[in-house]
Amino acid sequence: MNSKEKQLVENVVLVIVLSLMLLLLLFFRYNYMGQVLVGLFTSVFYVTWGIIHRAMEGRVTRFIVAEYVSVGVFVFLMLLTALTF
Amino acid sequence: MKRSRVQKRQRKVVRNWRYKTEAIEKFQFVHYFLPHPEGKSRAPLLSSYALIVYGLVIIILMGIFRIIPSIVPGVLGYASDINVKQLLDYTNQERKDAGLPTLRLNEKLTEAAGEKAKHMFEHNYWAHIAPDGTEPWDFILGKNYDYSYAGENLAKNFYYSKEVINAWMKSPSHRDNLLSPNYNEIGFAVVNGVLDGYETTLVVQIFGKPRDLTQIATAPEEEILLKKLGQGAKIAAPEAEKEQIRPLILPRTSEEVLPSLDVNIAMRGVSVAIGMFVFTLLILDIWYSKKKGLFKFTGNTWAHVILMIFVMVGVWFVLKPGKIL
Repeated sequence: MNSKEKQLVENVVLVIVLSLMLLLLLFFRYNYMGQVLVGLFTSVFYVTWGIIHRAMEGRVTRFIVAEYVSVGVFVFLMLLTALTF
Repeated sequence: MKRSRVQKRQRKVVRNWRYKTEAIEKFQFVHYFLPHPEGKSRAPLLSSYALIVYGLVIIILMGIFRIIPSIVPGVLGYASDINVKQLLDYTNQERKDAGLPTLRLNEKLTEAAGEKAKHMFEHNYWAHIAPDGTEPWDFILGKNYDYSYAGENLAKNFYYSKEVINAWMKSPSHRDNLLSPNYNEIGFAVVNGVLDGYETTLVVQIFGKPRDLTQIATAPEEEILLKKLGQGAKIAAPEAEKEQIRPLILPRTSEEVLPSLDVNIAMRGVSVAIGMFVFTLLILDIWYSKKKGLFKFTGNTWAHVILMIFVMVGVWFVLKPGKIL
């Protein structure tokens, strides 16, 4: 598998998990805690996915880890705004 | 030819820098939005620090939206378009689909539901049992409804009647109430008011089965009741059964009190606006990096873009404010 194919597989995994997130948010539509947990799981998954993705390329630095963590926290807060009110 | 044009442009830029300082400022301003080839990094507005700042902005706005209701109650809230007729129709449709007999709208149960909603607003609580110990059955018995079975479903912050019924149907305990064969009658209250400082619409659904089954509401009674509630229902019924029923204390309709700002739409708007800003910067990052052939030591930009799309769709289209009890 060349690097482009690897990247495609990784992105397909990401899209599948994110689609699952939307379905779970729909499933837990009137369940606040369920939705918060789905949001939290999505953020943690994305940070882990991002770090593994770069680790496989041998390009993990603390800046890249910080970037994925900040993106993860940011999207979780985005979801939380709609859930809180 | 091409080279001389580039040189000409460079000379112009240098001249502008020397004599027009605002040109330098403009140049610097643009670079807040674009990736840096020197540092092999993203635009400053896309850095980890910037994302933390956006997160803090969201937290601060959430805090402000929490504080405003205690300072000026009723300004923020949830606008809704819910009415008793639709709630009754959707409830009975669910029962029909489950092969159960439909429920008749009862005046006493409707009054009891109205009293319950009023009590929740007056005592500022959201529960089946009030902080002072008042139970749902107290409201039903208070209206002289002698029941052998009774139940209560509550909902708040919903926009539409269908959403309320869908939410109840998704919750096993509420669904059991809605599809219980033990009930013959139902009462609804859709009341606007201020709860915890937020303008909202409470929906109270009370089920009942009278001890004396001859007391079950008739179709004409139901029709008169719906007309009194302002829903203009058309229910076919034999003329002979028609009789007068005493007037109701009408719950306030959704047109009477509305919040100045729908807090959920406002917060989702803020969230999606900040998300769109970050999304645009990421697209700019991809475009500029490709154009200039930049190589950056950063995370996967396309993955960030995909994530932002999914999260914005989730925030805007999937997440809704309604709560049931």
